Amino acid sequence: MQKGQPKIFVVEDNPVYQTLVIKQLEHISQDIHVFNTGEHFLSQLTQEPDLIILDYNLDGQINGYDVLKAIKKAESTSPVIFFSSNLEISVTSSVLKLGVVEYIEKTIFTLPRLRNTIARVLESSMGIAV
Amino acid sequence: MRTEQELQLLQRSFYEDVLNSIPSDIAVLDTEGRYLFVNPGAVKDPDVRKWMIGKNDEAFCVHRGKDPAIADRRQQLFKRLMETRQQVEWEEEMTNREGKKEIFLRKLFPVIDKQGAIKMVIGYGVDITERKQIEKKAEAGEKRYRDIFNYSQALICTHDMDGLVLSANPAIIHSLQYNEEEVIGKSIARFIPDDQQALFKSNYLDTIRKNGRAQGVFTVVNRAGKKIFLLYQNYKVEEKGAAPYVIGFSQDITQRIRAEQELMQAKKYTEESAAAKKAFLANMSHEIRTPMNGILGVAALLAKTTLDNEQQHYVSIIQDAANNLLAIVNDILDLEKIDAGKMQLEEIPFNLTETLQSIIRSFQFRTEEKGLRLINNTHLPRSMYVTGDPHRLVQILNNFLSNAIKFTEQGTITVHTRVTIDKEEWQAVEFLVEDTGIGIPEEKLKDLFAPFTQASSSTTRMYGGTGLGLSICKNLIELQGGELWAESFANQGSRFRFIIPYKKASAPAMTNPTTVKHDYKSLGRKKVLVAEDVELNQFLAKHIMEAWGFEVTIADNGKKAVALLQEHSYDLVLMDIQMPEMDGITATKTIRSLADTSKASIPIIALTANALKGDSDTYKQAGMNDYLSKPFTEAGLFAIIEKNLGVPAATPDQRATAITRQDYNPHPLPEPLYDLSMVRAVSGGDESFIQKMVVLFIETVPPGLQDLADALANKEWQRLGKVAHKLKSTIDSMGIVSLKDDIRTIELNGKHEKDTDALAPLVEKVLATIHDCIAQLKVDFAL
Repeated sequence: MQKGQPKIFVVEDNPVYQTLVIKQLEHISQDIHVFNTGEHFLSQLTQEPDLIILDYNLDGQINGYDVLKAIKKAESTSPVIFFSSNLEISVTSSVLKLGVVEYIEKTIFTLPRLRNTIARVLESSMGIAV
Repeated sequence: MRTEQELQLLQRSFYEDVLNSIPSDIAVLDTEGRYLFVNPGAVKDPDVRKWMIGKNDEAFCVHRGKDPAIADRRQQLFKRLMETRQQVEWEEEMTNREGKKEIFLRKLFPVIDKQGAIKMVIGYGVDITERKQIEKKAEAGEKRYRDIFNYSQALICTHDMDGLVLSANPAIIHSLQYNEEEVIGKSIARFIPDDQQALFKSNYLDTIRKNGRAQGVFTVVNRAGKKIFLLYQNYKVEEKGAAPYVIGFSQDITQRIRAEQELMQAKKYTEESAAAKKAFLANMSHEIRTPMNGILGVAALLAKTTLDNEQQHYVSIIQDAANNLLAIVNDILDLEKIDAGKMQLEEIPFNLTETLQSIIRSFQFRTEEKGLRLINNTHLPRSMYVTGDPHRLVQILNNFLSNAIKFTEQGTITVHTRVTIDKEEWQAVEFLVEDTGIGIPEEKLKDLFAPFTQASSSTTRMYGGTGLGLSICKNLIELQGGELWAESFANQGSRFRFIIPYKKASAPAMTNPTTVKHDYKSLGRKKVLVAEDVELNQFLAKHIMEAWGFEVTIADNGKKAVALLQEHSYDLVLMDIQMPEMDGITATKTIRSLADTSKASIPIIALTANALKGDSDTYKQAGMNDYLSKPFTEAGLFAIIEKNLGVPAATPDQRATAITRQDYNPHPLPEPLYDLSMVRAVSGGDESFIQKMVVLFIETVPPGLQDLADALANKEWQRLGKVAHKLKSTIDSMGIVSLKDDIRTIELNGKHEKDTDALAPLVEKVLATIHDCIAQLKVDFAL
């Protein structure tokens, strides 16, 4: 692991999307951690990642909204990008109320938008030009 | 019997009667000027006549109150007559008693006796007032004509039937710069240049003799030797009692003709220089393609090597820039082909709906990347087979979509499609590409389709491009019998609408050929001879074909290729056209004339950058089997080699289809089961990544399918919805378009426990399709 590489946490249970998201990140960082469940992720939150990419539907007992609530409760300053195929208004509005950098629909077509958002977030928070 | 006296009286009375009856003035005077006789024609009143006898004229004039000047003049003339003994004649104007002016022609003539002395003088007068008036009028009229003749700017002349000039007006004299004497009485032929003498006779003189008129342009030479052009219209005049002659009117059009000639010259020059520029541009573009082939090919090879991030970034910049340049060059060549009428359109059956879908899908990534929405609003049937040129349709839509993305910063790009006319034999299909971009100002719309035009030069600076795209699109659409319209409002967006008529075609039995994937190892170990002088191209051809397992030999000119072929045996020759020592055409002819018939009949494929000239005929005539334009793709090279080796190898798709049909599906597949173009786009050319994605799909999806089946069996609708939700994005990512709607229906209906009866067949379809899909992926990726 190189020093200065952003630490990125990906909370995603779909292996296909795990791979797709990691592909988007491969030129940005090697320090990527993938979690299938919210529970597992929350246990590692103290590591203060530079960026969190979070899905709504997860394996495990809690969903992405619960995870986001926990992140906010823990007063973590890590920026969160919500990447989910769940577009229910009740979900998106409560997620946005809690505060995320961006809510992006999870499809293969929106991967470029995800990548651009990641780049923007890291550039402003860490000064990394990606 | 009458006496002599009686007879004399009778005679005298007869003469007096005659004299008195003549309606002219007659008077007889003695040598002193005294009246001896006056007839009633001169003076009506018989008393006055009687009174006059023995009086001189002066007394009469005073008596009548005539102007003294009249009497004076009469006396002088009388005096002259007496002196000269010659008759005098004069015109006398006077006012009659009614106050009207009268003019008389008067004559006095002497009567001379045998001794030669003047015996008496006879005066004779005729009223010529009327005649004088006519004369005056005629004179005024003639003067008017003479003035026209003299002052006219038109050139007027008369000449006889042989061309001898009878009269010429000053304008002619001025134009010719000869004196009047040098013109009048001379033949017109004198002024006609030598090389037109024959024409003057045959076209002019003969014509006017025969038809009575002639018109045209004379070329005449003036004194200074300058050529003058006269536009003439001449008529033959025939009058009784006179020889026929010709009256000619012409105007000097020398300046006009010179101006016309200069204009023609300037036009010709402009056209020539424009053509030269275009030819230069086309040639240059053509020349650029060859090295660009090398750059792109090697950049692709370089991208496959292990590179760090920075290096990968640089390579992609090279690839982007080279691709852009190639696109411009291709645009220029396309335009040249269209201009020269050499653009040939394909006539092949294709699935229009599918072509449209794949074009739109290929732009999905770019639109998303820019934060735009791309909507495919199609009213075309799911499968619509037509005959036409699918590549040109792709080219046209690519252009409009690229433009839409380029000029739109936020909002939506929509592609609307529908059938506007549906006949038995053909259909008209309307395409409308709509964006919410910067738009085009109204005044620029009309120039939009002219080549090299963009809405403004600042557009070029900001957005790039040659401005050729729209012009090419318009031409391509029109070549296909279609029509294009553009509508735009500045800052609101643009709409490009076109209609192309397509002949209907029936659906082919097999899956669509656009999805053909080549199995590059399928041809085995072939020996290929490559005749190519450019090192980059040698390297590229060698590298690509060796990766297929071919044995590749390079000859850097035609002569070496022929020599190598004579010594060794090969399966196929790839022949560049332009090479030093011996070019590809000559080398091919040499090979075809070899004594060894097996060598002479070897398949030869031309590798040509001469795609512009499109003269595949030349290559065929030289004995080449086929040709491939540079720069070529790996797939293109493979396809043409496969075709010409005469051993068409089965493609993975064909084999897969065979297996699929046998094992799972009794019917031919209507469309490809999956489409990895998005995964491929994400991969950035990393084949191992694609492989990894396929493996993941095959390994992780079946448990989800099991869940789906279980949820259905247990009627756990909420769970069914959740499982469908999970599968949804995976299905989309693998491009399994046929399930796109179904999986969403299952998700929503499950969640809301709605129409649950309809869910079973949908779930069945999802299970079966993904099953098929996995089977085919396993075949295609040899897993």
